[in-house]
Amino acid sequence: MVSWIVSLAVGHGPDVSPWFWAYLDPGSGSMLFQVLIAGLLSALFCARSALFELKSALFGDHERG
Amino acid sequence: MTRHSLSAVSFRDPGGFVYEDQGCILRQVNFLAREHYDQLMKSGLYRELTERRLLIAHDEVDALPRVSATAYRVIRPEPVSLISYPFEWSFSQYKDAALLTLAVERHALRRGMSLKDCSAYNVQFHEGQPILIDTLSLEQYHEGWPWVAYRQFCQHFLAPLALMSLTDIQLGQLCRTNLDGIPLDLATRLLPWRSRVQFGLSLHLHLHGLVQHSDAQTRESGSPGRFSQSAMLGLIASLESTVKGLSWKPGRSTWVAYSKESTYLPDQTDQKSRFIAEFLELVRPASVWDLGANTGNFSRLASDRGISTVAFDFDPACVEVNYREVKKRQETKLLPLLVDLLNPSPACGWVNRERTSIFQRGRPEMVLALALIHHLAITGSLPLENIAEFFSDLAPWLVIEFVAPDDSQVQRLIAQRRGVHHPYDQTQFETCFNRYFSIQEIRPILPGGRILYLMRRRDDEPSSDG
Repeated sequence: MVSWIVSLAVGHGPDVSPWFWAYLDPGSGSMLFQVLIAGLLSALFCARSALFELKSALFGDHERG
Repeated sequence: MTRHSLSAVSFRDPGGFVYEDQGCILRQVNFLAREHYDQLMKSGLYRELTERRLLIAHDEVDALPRVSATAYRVIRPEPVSLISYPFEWSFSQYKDAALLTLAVERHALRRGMSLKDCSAYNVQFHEGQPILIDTLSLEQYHEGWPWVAYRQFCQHFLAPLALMSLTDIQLGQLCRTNLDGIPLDLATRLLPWRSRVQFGLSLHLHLHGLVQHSDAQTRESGSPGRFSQSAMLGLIASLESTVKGLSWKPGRSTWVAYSKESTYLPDQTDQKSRFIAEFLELVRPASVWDLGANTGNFSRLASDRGISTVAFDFDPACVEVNYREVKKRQETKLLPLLVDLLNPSPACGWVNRERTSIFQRGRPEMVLALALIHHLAITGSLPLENIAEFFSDLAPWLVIEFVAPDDSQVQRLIAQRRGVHHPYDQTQFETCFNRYFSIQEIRPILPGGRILYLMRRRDDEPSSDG
């Protein structure tokens, strides 16, 4: 079932040397999970950035770290 | 035939490895990692990270590479005084190490790079702060790819922190048996139900854990799907807010209260401090290990003198309180660590050399063993002979406090155990320690009770026939 979902989710990524795959098993489930939640994460990031911009405009906050 | 014995701690990364040459720790950068290393150095990321003390600084050196055929560069990282492991950190140390890792990733993404792994062992405490020591962890960022180190971050950082925060602080010790972090299915079984209603934990541990053991296959050298840079930044921001949301209060630990409710009156504590300071001035050691340091009050007599000091204690609350003080005072010479002397950090991993025991990682020039011996001898049932041998193996100088059998703290321990297994009195103490040390100074602290000794290991005494 999960393999079938992956086959639907798979897109055409950039050409990447596979050497680093030999180093760390990122976990196919973890990679898929990130793809599945990508939209949510993007939305959260955009909302956070917009809030930050608004706060900066209103209160002149500066980014830390 | 030439044989190359690669360091047992650094054999996984095809981009390079760490090795030791004439007492100096070096890192070989292989040709395979050339593009990544060059981008790190030329993009301004290296300068940015090292200036912010997020990444260990290094020099490129002309030293002979360990494996010439694959070598692109040899670098010499700034030395770290003592390598520590995640299961030796307090909660806040662990949390700061996690946030450091995410900060590095955030800075790296801005410069077109990313962390290719997130091992907690890549973070060390250096001059009072966590710092990334694995320069080769940074690789070129591939737009559109998910984060290859996401699972490792969750296993190495998020799961232990969540367990320590929400279940039991002692579960940080699970990292000792799970060198690649705590498996998410195990973590989710151990976490309380309320962790499921916390958005970040629900997403990165519970839901993530559900797909961990899927049989999903990615195409060979192909992407599992599009993952935009804004999604990547969202992932890092979400992990950061989840980690920041975790907390732990030391509470009313018996051992934190111990220093405040000790046998000593304030002027006797001052007297003890003066004697220890006197011994430190006399010996001027380069490094000190304070064993059973509690919250580090006496460790600071050494670290405040610029001496590199490690404060060991077996109580997570004491180490936490000590580390918070280090941060508050911005101390650079004191490292609090969680180590139980009766069960110290062992050697583990591949051939028991991948992660070495605490005593293989360093030796101090002086040991402080203050109000400790009765715990080892009575609670630990260790013969005084064995304790003396242990200390003599550890350091050439020893400051040790003997606690007499009629001391109230000793009486309390004896009452709990209905007697003492091995002989425990001042004569036996001096007889045993005299076999390994020569007693240089003796200072009574409490009348008829506690005595402070300065001892020097017999092997290290200057020869009389000179």
